Amino acid sequence: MSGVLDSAIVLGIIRFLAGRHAWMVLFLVAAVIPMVLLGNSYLMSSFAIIAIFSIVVLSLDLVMGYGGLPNFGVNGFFALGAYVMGVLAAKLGIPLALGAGIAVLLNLGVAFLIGVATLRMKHYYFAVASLGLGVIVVQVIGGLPDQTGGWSGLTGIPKVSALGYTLSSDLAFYVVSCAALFISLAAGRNLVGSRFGRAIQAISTDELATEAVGIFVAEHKVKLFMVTSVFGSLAGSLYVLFLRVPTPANFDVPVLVEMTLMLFLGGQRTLWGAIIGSGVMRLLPEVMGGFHDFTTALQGLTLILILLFLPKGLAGKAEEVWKDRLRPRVVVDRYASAQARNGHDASQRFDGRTPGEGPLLEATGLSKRFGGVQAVSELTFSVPRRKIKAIIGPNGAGKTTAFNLLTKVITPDDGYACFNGISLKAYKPHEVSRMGIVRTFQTPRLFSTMSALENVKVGLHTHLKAGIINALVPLAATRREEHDAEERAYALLELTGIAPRAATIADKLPFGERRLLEIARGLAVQPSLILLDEPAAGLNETEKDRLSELLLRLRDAGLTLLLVEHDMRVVMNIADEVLVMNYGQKIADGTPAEIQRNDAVLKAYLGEDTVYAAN
Amino acid sequence: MDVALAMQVLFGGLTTGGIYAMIALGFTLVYRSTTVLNFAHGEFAMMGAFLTITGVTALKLPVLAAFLLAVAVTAVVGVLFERLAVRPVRTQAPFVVILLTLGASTLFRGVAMIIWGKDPLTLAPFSGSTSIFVAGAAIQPQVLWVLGGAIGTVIGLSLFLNKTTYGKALRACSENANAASLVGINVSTMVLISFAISAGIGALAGVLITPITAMEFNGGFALAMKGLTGAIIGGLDRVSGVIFGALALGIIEAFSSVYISSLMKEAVAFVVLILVLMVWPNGVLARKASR
Amino acid sequence: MLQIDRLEVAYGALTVLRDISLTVNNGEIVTVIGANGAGKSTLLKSISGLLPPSGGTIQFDGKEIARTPPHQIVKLGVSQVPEGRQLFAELSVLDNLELGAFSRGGNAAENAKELAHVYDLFPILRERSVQMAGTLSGGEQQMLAIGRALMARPKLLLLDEPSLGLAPMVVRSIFEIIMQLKASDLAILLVEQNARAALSMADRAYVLETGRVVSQGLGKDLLADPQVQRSYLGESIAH
Repeated sequence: MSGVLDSAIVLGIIRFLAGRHAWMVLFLVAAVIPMVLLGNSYLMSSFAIIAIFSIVVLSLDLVMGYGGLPNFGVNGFFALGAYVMGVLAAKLGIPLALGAGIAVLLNLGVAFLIGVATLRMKHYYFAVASLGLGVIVVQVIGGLPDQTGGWSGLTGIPKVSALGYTLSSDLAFYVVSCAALFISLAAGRNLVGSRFGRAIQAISTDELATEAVGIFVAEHKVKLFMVTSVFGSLAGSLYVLFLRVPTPANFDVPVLVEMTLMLFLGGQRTLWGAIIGSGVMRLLPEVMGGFHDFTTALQGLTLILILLFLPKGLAGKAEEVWKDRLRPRVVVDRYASAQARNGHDASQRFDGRTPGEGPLLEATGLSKRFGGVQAVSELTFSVPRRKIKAIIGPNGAGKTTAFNLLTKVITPDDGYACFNGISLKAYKPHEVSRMGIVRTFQTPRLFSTMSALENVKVGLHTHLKAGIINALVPLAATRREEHDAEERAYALLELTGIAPRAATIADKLPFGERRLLEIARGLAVQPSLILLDEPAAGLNETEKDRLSELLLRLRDAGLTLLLVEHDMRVVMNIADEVLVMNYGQKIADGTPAEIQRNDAVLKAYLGEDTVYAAN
Repeated sequence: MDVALAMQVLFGGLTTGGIYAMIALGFTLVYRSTTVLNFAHGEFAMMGAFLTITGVTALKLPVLAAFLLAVAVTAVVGVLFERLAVRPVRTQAPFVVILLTLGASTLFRGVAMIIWGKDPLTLAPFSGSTSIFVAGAAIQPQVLWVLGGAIGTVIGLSLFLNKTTYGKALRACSENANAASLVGINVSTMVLISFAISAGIGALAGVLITPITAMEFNGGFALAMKGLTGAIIGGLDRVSGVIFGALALGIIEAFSSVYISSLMKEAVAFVVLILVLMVWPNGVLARKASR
Repeated sequence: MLQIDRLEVAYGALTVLRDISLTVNNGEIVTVIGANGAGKSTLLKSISGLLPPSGGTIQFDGKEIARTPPHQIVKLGVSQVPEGRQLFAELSVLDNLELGAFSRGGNAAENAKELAHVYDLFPILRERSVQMAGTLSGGEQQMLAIGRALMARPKLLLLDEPSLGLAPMVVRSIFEIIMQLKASDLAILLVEQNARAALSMADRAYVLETGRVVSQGLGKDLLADPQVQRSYLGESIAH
């Protein structure tokens, strides 16, 4: 088997496929095949629809697959794109291109409003509300027969003609639709690989961790909605030209269900799966011929079987084989070679943004109650610049709550913290991060579907500039920025000692390296202060030594560190100061040696002497 | 405003609201024990109705017998569905679960279309069709069946959940599955029970509404969307909230279709839903944050 | 009664317990102490079946239970009082206690007897019987959690940090009750952070450090052992 895979021809093919532009060649070849086989037959209309549906499914992949938002409202954007242009042209004689543009603007507005309105809704609530959006659009269209033709359909949409040529044959439509799909696919690929694309993928795996690197989650969700609405709108406008007499049923819930099925059959998080899914779903009835009545049942069964047995879909499965078994045969480590060329300096300093002396962080009277429990009570302490301070204390002493209060993940009932002399009272979590405070979590919260390098690049987010337009159409400046980001990220992986894992998916890293990756990602934010929540938990002795050494090195590079840690050997070895908490209160604060001699500390850890005799 | 007309509309609204409430309770029961929103729930109503029709017409059974048989068969389908399809994906992302139940909904509809065809089928009203007049409004006797069924379901379910050991065990599971297993409750059995009861109530709703609106293979899905909307408006995890939301939705729909426009009746439910969720992201009477 | 041999437990990629061997005999109080994150709670969870081990064996009354689901382990006679109490907060105190007897089936007379016994042990619960469990104070909740576990009439009681988050006064009364339970010939496996109290109550004890047993012996011996302090506060302790 491997003999065949390593033959010169196969390796040549793999090498070609691993190239940057191979997808374009593949797309063109795949697009030409039906034209050659079928010519201008009636079946070409099915292929035109496949191309148009692929665009919508692709947008569904962006929002559901990459964005992780169960947004079932895409048929609403699709319908608006179709009907706004259709009605404007049929009833008011507005040129089609202008109508399509107006539809896009309207969709952007709707997407913005719906995005903002649904921000606070979680999972199911969001899913049902977004489903509702599609239903409302379709129902309103059906309920306005004077303007839209109602349920019997809209007539009077003119044919497209340009340069004396009228677009009417199925073949011509197919070609136009394919061109549109090609552009959509290119835009989608650019988006996914961009700064924005990384942010939405990060959000879909872990919102809290995303905020912790300074990304404003709400803004990105709304923008993602708006991007998908443009795809949906343009596909709708194209579809209506093809349909000529659209009815609301062309855009109703069953169509949405079909598109969702297309996405999962094809494979989410692949983009090209949209084409595979649409193709299979639309050609299946043609192949089934006389068994039309079975189509619905078969669709349902297919979706269930896919979810149970092939959750990644057809394209997803293919990509897995590709990434795990085929591509590794030809790919060299391009990160390492890029590094060798440019040699980014890994020995950066971390105190450039907060020069000066005195404490970097000062907490005053922080208090928080949960129900009947006083989790943190009147906590006052300071963290000196360029030092390592550790917080220790028994279970439930309030240490992690203290972290959450400092990073504003939860709001204190009372008290406040000052960072570099500025009160954090009015700041949101992502703003705290942007000021230069980052944190890690008790269990590492990585972006599990992304590579180690991409995880660090998400950390660089706030230091990059590319916006959505740059993402969709990256020009030279954006590409340079990306290149630079890649090198900076790689340098941080080197600093933390996990550079050889740059291309490994975070989920597949061993536990100890996950902790290091989380630290590297935090450093990408270029903090002055890093909060580490039990960094040594789950590490073996060698890994603990590596970690201690890294933390000391970071301190010497000007970083201030505050850690919650249970491993006393680590704490006593590296901490400059130790704060001890119990029952939410500070019971001691001093050097490690002082703490070890403190009676109150011993009592907190070992319990009071008691009267119970073992009998 | 014409009082008789308003009464008529109110009864219409209560009738649909009652059906929505029964559907909504089915959603809630399963949601609370599994945190799964079963989008195939409406198909249980469709199955109940179609199976009863088959029992009456093909097997010549009396309505009551056909109905009981239908409810039992539907409950069994619910149990099989949970075991074969829902359980394997339960721990995955919520929208994988949504899609799975959507797929099941499509499958059930497709199979129903093959067996019973695309045309609506109906049942004779249980107690004839001579209208009763209340405050000037003409009420069909079947409406009383629906209201009785809805009230009976609510009372029966409340008694079960609050007074029986198994009902309490069910609530214990929905609150804290780990703790429930530590006192010896077999959580997966409880999940099965909740699916069976949920499917049974769904079937009951489908049978009761069929003499009024008839039933088609797609009819269950439409009911489910409304029941779910009602449940979410009220707050998914609370029985009283769900009933409130569903009844309110039925009444709002009835009045809006008479006094605003009947063409966009379907849209009204979702407009209300979105507006409510903007103010109360977890529903009006929800007790805790959504998961 | 309980025999654990070379137990290994992992959460995904993270191995929490390695090579744990431990026994509990009839009528004994055995305590497992150790710093945070040592794996104490994990140990109890794998005994009660919530967290199936990745290696090793757990035998109860000579029967292998390492792969037995939790609801069946309760039937065999092992009840766990979970960390953080884990009550059914929206059910009444009485409902919580009745559900505690779920594993023994519906014999009303037996259950009433057991209920009377629990009420005698914790008179405050009788007063609160119709109140929702979530409205109780922390100490009362801990009593209810113990009472609920006793309703199953266990032979072995697993107690996970019964003193967690409670005021010192309340801790004292909870510990007194544990001593009473021991007198009634119930075997108890106690996980505690309050090491001195736990050791003074226990017949035997095990000290856990990062997932391993680092020392074991009689409770009173360990009470005087400097190794115990070291495992809490680090190597270089000056004393």
